[in-house]
Amino acid sequence: MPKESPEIIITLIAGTSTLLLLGALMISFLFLYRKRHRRLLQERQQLKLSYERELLKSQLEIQEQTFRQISQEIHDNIGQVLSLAKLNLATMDPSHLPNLEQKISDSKKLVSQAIYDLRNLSHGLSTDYITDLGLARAIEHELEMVRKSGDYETLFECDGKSYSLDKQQELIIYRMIQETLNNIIKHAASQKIIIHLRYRPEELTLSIIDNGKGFDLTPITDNSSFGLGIKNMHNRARLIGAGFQISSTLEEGTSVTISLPVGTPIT
Amino acid sequence: MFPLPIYLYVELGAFIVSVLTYRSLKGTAFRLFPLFLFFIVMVELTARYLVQVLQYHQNAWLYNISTTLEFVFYAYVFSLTLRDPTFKKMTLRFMAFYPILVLLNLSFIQGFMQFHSYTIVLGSMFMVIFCCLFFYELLLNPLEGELRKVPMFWIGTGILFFYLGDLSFDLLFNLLKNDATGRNLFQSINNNLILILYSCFIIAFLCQRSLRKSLSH
Repeated sequence: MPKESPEIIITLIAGTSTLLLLGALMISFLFLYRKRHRRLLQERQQLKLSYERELLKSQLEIQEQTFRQISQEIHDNIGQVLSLAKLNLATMDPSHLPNLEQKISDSKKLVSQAIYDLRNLSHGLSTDYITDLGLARAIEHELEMVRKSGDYETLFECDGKSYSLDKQQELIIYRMIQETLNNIIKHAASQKIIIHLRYRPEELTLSIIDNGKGFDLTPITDNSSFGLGIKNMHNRARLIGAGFQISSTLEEGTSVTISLPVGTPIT
Repeated sequence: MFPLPIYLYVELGAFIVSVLTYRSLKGTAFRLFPLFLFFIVMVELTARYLVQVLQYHQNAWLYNISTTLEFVFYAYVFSLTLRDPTFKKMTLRFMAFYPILVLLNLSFIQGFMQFHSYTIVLGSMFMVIFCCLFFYELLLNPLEGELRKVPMFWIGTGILFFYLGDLSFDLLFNLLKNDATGRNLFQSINNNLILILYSCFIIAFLCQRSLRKSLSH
């Protein structure tokens, strides 16, 4: 008759149960880990997609703004200059020599001016010019366009040793500046616009200040279209890992600050 | 001999499914499964025939052969599935040395007519290690689609549970071989583990079939 030992049976049951439980834990961990990892990848993919979407949107908006500026420039400036040149040519009197020489000289100057303005315009036709020029020069150019309208006094200040940012980051920052300038032109009723760009090794800070009528920031928390524009800028800043701050005082002006932490500046 | 226990039907079922899905198993690490499962079913039927018809109870030699082949076969499947060269080398070395160790054990330690529990414990441990290595690789490469659709995941899960579950008995084999309650308990645990193992194989074959189908579309 075989001898039976309850201790061995208990050991067998406990051992088997423990080992099987260990196996179950292992499989569960594998499932959980992969699930979490998959979710993380999906989130990253989603973020990448929304970043690309936002980038494309910014590019299109910059293009649209550029076309608007070009159309305005052609109509207000180059068109006028060429019309004047045409008028000069049309009113030339070959019999009146001193006057003729003057008109030819004026026409030459006007055509040269038109060529210069056209060359300037052609620079802005592609979104690549932001990267080609560098952010500081592109901002300067943008401010120059605003100044040329004659309604604003502009000032651009740049501190620190400049460095290149990621192409996409530069594009989005540039678009945010354009949007802010548009808002100033449309709503601020200001006379002066100052852009301050500060390159620091750890951070790039950009401030856009106007001395306009300012506004109440409370509606930004609502879902009004006014608030949506600001939220859109907030969103863009978040996508490139930048901070976005806006402060405004009624009848004193508004200040928009974008701060982008820089890992290792590419000089 | 009849009626057969449920686990044997599941083994038979796994064999039939492997034959039916052979077209999708061809060219994969699972291509030899139909042959292997046929061998396993034959061993089980022979063992039952020996015990129940011929009343020949000394069938340990049959299981010594079949379990050794089982370990070598699973190691072969892992050798084709694992990606890391070191892990692969480990499985290949196991395939080469394990039968020699069993032979040495049977010749000099436990004897041919005794169940080779020592080398079974060793083999089971290696199977658990191979499963862990496979799951580790699954952790490192989480882009292989849904886990429940990966055929080798099911094979690995079945093997892991089977050998983890049997390990306690194999370790206590010498103490339990004369203990009727222990033996019966092991029998019932083992039968359930066989059910899990071969059910996992069936799921793996079906997964491989749908994987092949989705790839061909």
